[in-house]
Amino acid sequence: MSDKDQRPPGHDGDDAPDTADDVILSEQTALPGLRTTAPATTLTAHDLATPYVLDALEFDEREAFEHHLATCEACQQQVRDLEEAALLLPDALVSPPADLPDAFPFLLRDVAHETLHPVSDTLGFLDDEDPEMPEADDAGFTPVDDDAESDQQPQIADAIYASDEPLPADDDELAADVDEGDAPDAEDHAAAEPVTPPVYPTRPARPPGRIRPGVRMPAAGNGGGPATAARSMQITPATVAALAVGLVALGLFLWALLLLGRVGDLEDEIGQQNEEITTLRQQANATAYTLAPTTNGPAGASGTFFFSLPDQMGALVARGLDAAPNEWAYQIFYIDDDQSAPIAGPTFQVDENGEALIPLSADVASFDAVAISLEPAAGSPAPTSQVILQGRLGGAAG
Amino acid sequence: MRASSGFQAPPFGETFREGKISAVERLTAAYGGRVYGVARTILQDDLAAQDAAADALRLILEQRDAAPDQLTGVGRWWIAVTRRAAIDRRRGRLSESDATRQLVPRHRAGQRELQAAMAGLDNEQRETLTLVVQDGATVAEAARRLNQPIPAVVVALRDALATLHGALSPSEASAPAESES
Repeated sequence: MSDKDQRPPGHDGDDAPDTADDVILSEQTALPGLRTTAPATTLTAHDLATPYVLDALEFDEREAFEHHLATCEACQQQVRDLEEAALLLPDALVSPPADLPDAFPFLLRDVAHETLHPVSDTLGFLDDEDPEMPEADDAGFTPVDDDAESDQQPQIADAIYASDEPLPADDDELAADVDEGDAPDAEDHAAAEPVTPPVYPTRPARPPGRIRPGVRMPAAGNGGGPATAARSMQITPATVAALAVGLVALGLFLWALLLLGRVGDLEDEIGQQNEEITTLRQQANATAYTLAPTTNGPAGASGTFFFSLPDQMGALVARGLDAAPNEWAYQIFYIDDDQSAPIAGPTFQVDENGEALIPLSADVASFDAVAISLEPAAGSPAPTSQVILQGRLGGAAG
Repeated sequence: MRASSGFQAPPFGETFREGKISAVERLTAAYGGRVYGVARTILQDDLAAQDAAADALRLILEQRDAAPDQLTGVGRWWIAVTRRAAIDRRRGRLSESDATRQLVPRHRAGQRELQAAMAGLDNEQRETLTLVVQDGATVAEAARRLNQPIPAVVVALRDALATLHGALSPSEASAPAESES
């Protein structure tokens, strides 16, 4: 049986040539292997009416069919016919689960009261008594104020759990029940009219579980529909702008943090140097000697030689020196007045502030003077250029 | 059987459209569990199912002026709106603006009539319908799960729905009178 043979009347292909109307369900959604075992059937747009009314088409398929539907009267009629049956199917196929969540009835109750802002229900409620829900008979309340309404609410929850019986049969049966007198009659109605102030039962505590905040659904015609989750994920230009501003602010904040970190590191370094100087100065026997620039040195240059006799340690602090040229360094030379040649000491570089802190070995204090000159970076055994900074130590260790 | 006193309760739809809590109580008592079952089967998530059912209840309450007269009609409306909401959420799509009113059933078939019509389906048709209607599967998804080619699924659905439509046609709702009231 070919697919065309199964088409509804009006879809015999005369008015809809396959070459023009073939709209195949997304091929990529079917297992490739299955296509080879499929009967020799070609689906056309007309065949999608049933999946359409059952909401069983992918988005693009649905769009394509709706495009076709706009101009195909036969499909329009078929959709009208079939959608009525389709609306009945969930009721026929789905059974209520046995494990209904405890909070669900209360959720429905809250939604009902949030949405309805209940109207006065005194007479209407009595008139509307459900013959299958006799427990509501003695409720005769006048729900004018909100508290009164809320007292009535647990009936929804109670009713759901009380309704283990099958669905209320057919409405025809319900109507028959009403006619048979299960509903309040006129005398009952008259007797109920002199309403006395009701005493409402205490509203039971909400059971633990899903408590839904009062999220209000948008009304139809305003993009309304039940897909709250999908709608809440819509991205608007304002959202994009807000996100962009947020990202820029976050970037600036992180950049500031990095700068603060760098500043902090430098401050820590300076503080460490100052502590070393202070420590040296605070040593009981620490002695400081000043180095001054020679005529060949920078005018603002200076140096201080510290020496602690008990600790047998010393250091030289140089300031105001220019950065050494490439492959050159400053070098310390120790001078002993009793010896003709100076003794080569360590080389060093100054930082961007023209400063340097050079730890010195313990025996340097036995010398009479110290001098600094600019030498090749590897250092020289003897000064090869003019001394730019020098000072007398006065035989500190001696 | 007691003789009728002459007093007749207003039809359910009337009190529901008036927004009476007692009508909502009847609705939730009769259909709350079933609506939740529809949503949970599609979404496979308890909290999301409760949200979908509650959102759908809010929608039909907000648009209760479109409610049919019968309790079963309103209940099926609630189920249909919930199913649409659950499928929307599952497929990550937005709803059509007039989806709620479009889903008001006009057919007045009772449960027995409906079950009798369902009995006319063969196993394959029932299984396919169950996947699509109860689980919210698309045709392609149903084809994969049934290990069937897509055209076979479409044909099964079409035949099943045509059978149901034919079986239920005598009580077509377009009959103007609503005898219940």
